[in-house]
This record gives sequence, C-alpha cells and structure tokens, in this order.
Amino acid sequence: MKQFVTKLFFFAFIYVMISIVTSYFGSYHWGNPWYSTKVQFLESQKTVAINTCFFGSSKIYRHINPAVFDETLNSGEDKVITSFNFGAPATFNPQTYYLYEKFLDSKLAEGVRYCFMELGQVDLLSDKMLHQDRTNYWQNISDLIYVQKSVYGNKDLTLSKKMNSTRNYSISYMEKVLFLGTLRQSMLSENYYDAQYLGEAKNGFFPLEMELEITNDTVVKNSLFNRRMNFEADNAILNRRTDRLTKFYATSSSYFDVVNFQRIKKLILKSKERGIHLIFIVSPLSTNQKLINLSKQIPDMNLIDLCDPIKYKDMYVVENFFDKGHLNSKGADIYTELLAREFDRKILKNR
Amino acid sequence: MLFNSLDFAIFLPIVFLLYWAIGGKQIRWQNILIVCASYLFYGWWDWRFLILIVFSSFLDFSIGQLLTKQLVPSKRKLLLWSSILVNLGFLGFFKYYNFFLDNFVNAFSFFGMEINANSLNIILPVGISFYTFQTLSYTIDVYKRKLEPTKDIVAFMAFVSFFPQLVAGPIERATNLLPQFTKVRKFDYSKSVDGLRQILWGLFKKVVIADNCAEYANIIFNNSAEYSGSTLVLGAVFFAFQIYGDFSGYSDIAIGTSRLFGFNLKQNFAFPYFSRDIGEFWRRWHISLSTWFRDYLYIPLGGSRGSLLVKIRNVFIIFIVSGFWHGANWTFIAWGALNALYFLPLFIRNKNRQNLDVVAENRFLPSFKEFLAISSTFGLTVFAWIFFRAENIGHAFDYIGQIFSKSLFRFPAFKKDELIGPLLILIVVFLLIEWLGRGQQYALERLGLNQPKIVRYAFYYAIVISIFWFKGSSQQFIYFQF
Repeated sequence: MKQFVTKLFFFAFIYVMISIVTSYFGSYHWGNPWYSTKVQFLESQKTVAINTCFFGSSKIYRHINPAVFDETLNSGEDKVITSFNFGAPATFNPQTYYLYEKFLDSKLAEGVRYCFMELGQVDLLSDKMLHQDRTNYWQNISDLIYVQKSVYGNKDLTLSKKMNSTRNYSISYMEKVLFLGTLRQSMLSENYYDAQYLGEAKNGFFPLEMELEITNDTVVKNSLFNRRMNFEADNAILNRRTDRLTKFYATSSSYFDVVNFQRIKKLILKSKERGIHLIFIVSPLSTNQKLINLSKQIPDMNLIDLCDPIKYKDMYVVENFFDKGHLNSKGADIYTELLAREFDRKILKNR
Repeated sequence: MLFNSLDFAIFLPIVFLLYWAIGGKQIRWQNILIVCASYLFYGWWDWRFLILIVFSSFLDFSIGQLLTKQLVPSKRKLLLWSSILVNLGFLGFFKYYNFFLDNFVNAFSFFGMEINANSLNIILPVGISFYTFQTLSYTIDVYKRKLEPTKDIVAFMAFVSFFPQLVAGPIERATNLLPQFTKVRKFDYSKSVDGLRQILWGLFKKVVIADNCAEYANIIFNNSAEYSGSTLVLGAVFFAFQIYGDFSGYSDIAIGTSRLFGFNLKQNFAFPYFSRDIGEFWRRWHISLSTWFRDYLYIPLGGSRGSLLVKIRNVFIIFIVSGFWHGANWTFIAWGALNALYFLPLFIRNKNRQNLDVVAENRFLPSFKEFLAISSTFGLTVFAWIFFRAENIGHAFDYIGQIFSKSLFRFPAFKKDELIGPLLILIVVFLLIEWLGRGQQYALERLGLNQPKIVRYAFYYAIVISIFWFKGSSQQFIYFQF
C-alpha cells in the first residue's frame, strides 16, 4: 500500500513538474482573448510608441476612448500622450493586478510613462466562472494567498461566502497547475486572437453599441440586444444606483480592504521603479462603500475619482448609457475627456 | 459526480485511503464506507433521487429474505412479480411516461379524436436503468434459487449503490458482485496498478477520443442539411467513435476503480469494432446488458428453441427491447430493429457463433478476408448509429437521404476544420493501440509490460499528457441519460 501510494505520488509529482515547465513556454495572457489580442497586436507592430495605458474590466474597455484622450491632451503638433486601452471584460481584481505586473515585466512597458488602472475590490469568484480558461490562466499561489487574506479579513462576508470563494479559487488554481485540458490552448496564443477586440481605431476601445452592430456571434448579439432593451424598458435602476452612491459619498466610514490597499501600494512602488506613474480610477457606478473608502487611502497623485454623482452629474445621464452598467459611445467620449482633463490638472501640470 | 472531473479526482483518493485505512478485515466498516461514498457520489448530482436507490435496495433485500422463507410457488411468484413491477414501474414512470403518453395522444388524434393529456416535467434519475437491472437480477436469481440471499443489508446496499458502476454500469450480476462484498478484501499492489492503468486508458478514450469526436459529430448531426454526403458519413463515423470511447471509457474507469478497492467487475467491451460479423459485435458490445437480456428475457422467451418464426420473434424482441432500454424515442427502437435485421441472416443460417476467437490471433495483421469482414461490420454499425444519434426518425432518414446524394463524392468539408487532421491521427493511434491489445481485457493490460521501465513510463506519461493536451470540451457521458 505504502509503495503504491508513494509511486503514485511521484508519478503525479513528475506530471506537475512537466506541466509547470511547459507553462513557461506559453504566454502569460493566453486565457484572456481580449487582452491577448491587444498584446499580440502591439507585439506585431514594428514600432510601438504608446506611453499611456489603461487596464481593467469592461468599465475601462468600453468607457475609455484613447483617441479622445490623446486629442484632449495633445495640442497641435506636440504629441504628449499616445494611449492604448488594455481593458477586457470581467477582468477583475486580482486578475488585473496579475496582468499589470506581467505587463510591467514585458518589453511593451518600455517607454510607457502613465498607466491607469480601474480600482476594484477582490472578486469572490462565483460558481459560474468556474472551469473557464479566463478564470484559470492567471491563477498563481501568491494571488491565491492574497485573495484568501482579503476575503477572510472582510467582515461584511458570511462564512459560507468566504468558504465558497476559497473553494472556487482553489479549484481554479488546481486546474491551472494541472492544465486540465488547457495545455494545448496555453501553448497556442493564436487561439486567443480576434482583431475585432481592438476596436475600429485599433486602440483597444470597443464600445458596446459597436459590438452589437458588427458582431457575427448570435449569442453575443442577443445578449447585448437584451441588455440594451432591458435598460430602455427600465432605466430607473440608474437613479437607484446614483442615490446609493450619493449616500456612500456622504457617509463617513473608514472601513476598507487593508490587504487590497497594501497590494495597491506595492503596485505603485513597482511602477515607479519602472519609471511609470500609476493612477487608479474610480469609475462611475462603482457602487461600493468599501471601495470608496479604499480610494480615500490612495495618495492623491495616484487617484482620479470620477464616480461621485454630485460632482460628475453628466456621468449619470440616461442618454449616456448603453445598459445599466456601461456607458455608450457618447458617454464614453464625455467620460474620457473628463478623465483627460482631470489627469492634466492633477498630474501633467504638476510634473 | 463525473469521472473526468476535479471533484472525482479529489473524492477518489480520499475514499481509497480511508477504505484501506479501515483494513481488509473490517468488511462491514468498509462496506459502510462504500455505501456512504456511493451515496455522496450519487447525491452530488441530485440527492433527492437517493430515496429511489434506498427504497429499491430495501425492497429487493426484503423480497430476497421473504423468498427464502416462502415455499409456496404461487406466493413466491407473487413476490417476484411485485419486485419486477415496482422496479420496472419506477423505470417506466421516470423514463417512459411521457413517451407513452405522447404516442397515445398521437394515436388518438390520428383517428380524429382529440384528447387532453399533459406531459409531465420529469427528470430522469441518473443511472436508473442500470441499478434497476442490477437489483432485478438479484431477485430473479434468488427466485430461481441460483443465489442464496444475503442477510447483510449493508453488503446488499453496497452492491446496489457501488459508486464505480452505479450510474452507467457495467450491470453486474448479484452472483458475481454480491459475494465479493462479504469476503475479506486485501490490498493487492499489482491489482491496483492494473486498475490505474485501466482508468488511464478509460480517461484517454473518454476525454481524448469521445469528447473530441463529439464536437464534430454534434456540429454535423445538428446541422446535417448544410453538409455534403461525404461529410455526413464522416459525422456518423465520428459518432461511432464518440459512443465507443464514451461508454467503453466509462466502463474502463469503473472497472479500474473497482480494482483499486479489491473488486473484480466483468469486462463490458471486448474491442467490438474489430468484430467480423454482427453476431460477434453483439458479443463484444455492452456485454453486461446483452447477457442480461439473454439470461432474463431471451432464454425465458424460449431462446433459440421452437419454430423458426418463434426464434425470429425472440430475436426481434430482444433487439427492440434492448434499443428501447436506451431511451424513450422511436430512434432507439429503429436502431434495435435494424440490428435485428442485420443479425437475422446469420442467425437463420446458424452462423451467428462462427467468430468466437480473437481476430488474427498471434498475427499482427488480419488477412484480407478478415479485413473486409471487419470493415463491412463496422460500416453496418456506423449506419445503425445514425438512428441512435438522430433527433427523431425523420431526421435519421433525412440524414441518410443526404448521404446517398451526389455530394457523397465531394471531399468532406467542415466549418471548424483546424483540428480535424490531429483528430483523425488520434483515432488511428487509438485504433492501433486497441488492435495491439485486442486479446486482453483492455488495450493497455499487457501492452509494453515486457519493455524497460523507462519506456513504459514514457508511454504512460505520453497518454497522460495527451489527455491534458487534446482534451475536448467536456461532454457528459452519453450513457448517463439511459
């Protein structure tokens, strides 16, 4: 029995070693088709002249138009800013941190001076996200520990939610380590290339109504169409969320995720070492008291908060939204311009 | 819980270690663990249907006890029929209620009478066809005095719910499996290694062959009107490999897992695609079901005794019932009837048992005659699989009609063709390994055992890596729905 178990253990151990070694031959972003497409596109360019990048979820991908951003900041012939949007749907914390750290270590980061990242709370990883390439590809032991620290330090969560999160992260981590069915995909990055994700101007910005118009994927088309129709039928949800946000900003509460904050500080420091100024963005509709509290801890030079509904009324106008959670092209342009002006006022003019 | 899931990969080692930690002499505790583990395994899918298994176990255990005490033949018969009716009643309700109701309504409307009858939204309990037949075999064997009923309720519950074969077989006979629950099981190193090898091969069949073939078979069958005849032929061939890889893979994993716990289950698939005629195919395909029907239906009906008409009737009954067992759809009945038609010419000429040995035994290649016989038998089974896979009879005939069109001579074309080459190569490698191991219980049983350790392990790692490398999108085991 002992001999059997020992041999089996060694057999499995060698397999895990093989899978770890083979993982070095794959790209770090293989399971995220949006991000992967963008990186592959930039790497295929002979000259990459970007100096400003945006990272985060769909609230970056669908909201920040680099063309508007550049135009707002560049006067005449003088090109101060050339930006690119690396945002990808559902790229939550800590996936965003993982991608950003890997980006910092890559050649693409050379020449980059400013990076914007969506401020987000640690995702609990719901059951529906399990067994997917995009949930597994970025899993690693340090992020696993980071998530557990954050989740178990969160007094707002019930024990069962915490345990479910531990379970789901552990399963995803094991699937990543064992490469359950993903070995081939991880080695073939072209599986994750779709030029459509680059957007019309090939700057990484792809508004939702544009996707609704041009996509050939009927599932995506129907889903976007339904989201749009649902919002048109009942846009009162926007008012409810705005009211909630207003209350959050009026409430004096100091409870925030310390673990996330420590990580943010490390990211700012690591960026600085690479000569990059990292700025966190609090996007409109980031409806969470803890997140707003967290934003207040971040140094002012590393934060742009465009979420406050009192200050930024334009950001909460129904006409500027595609669905209950995302801006449309018009809203995105207004938001991007606002972001650019805030960036100019806070950072560029204080250099 | 699926065999090819992470849940099972965690579940199995825990149960294995606990089981052997209890020790071989503590049979009762080991059996209790098996029952608990089996109920957990089953309840992972839907715990509510555990009630059916528990009820069925208690019912057949009690009837078994009563049968030994009861000596009056008419009362013994009554006990037997009460078990058959209750067990088949559950099966009939969950599996066939809507089918019979719909056909009843359709028959009335055909004669111009409209009746209102609403179908029920019934969930089919996973594995009900398998464990129902297993418990029935116990009661029938006790009734026929072929088996002494067990007095150990835990052993009996373990026999009914034994997790490796609970949801998709092999359908074990009480005469083979039940006594193993009452004997001391000792850990056997070589048996366990053999079990792992069989699990490995089963996973390869399921994950690499069946799941990858399924992707193409599904695309082609679901959009058959858009494809050429030649592509549809390939679609049917992919389905043939899908169903073989899926079901025999499951059986291999079940048998291998049982061996880890010291149990011996019977072989369920004996390389059926190397059969030289349909008679041989049915001796090699889903052996546990074929022999069940043979012993409990065909022989009681008279078997091959009686007039030619009675014999033909019996053949049709067994094939049609076997088809119907697979599902409540006319397609399965047509599949069974077609196989009966294939079988009859051999049966009438008394040539259905001419190929009892292993094909090309002690030779690497088959003779040309054998090759032709294997190819034509495979062709016939592939043709029959079209009925098995089709959504309905109309779909099957459309599919066949499309095959026999001018487009049959066009080069096959797919919408998603980037992996078709590697998949065809994989199928060839798979067939080669199966061919080399065709004389064994499963292909890897003796393959490479006389090679140096390093070669053997490199081969096993190649299989493991190919499982992870070529894994198709996960499909549920086909036979779960039966």
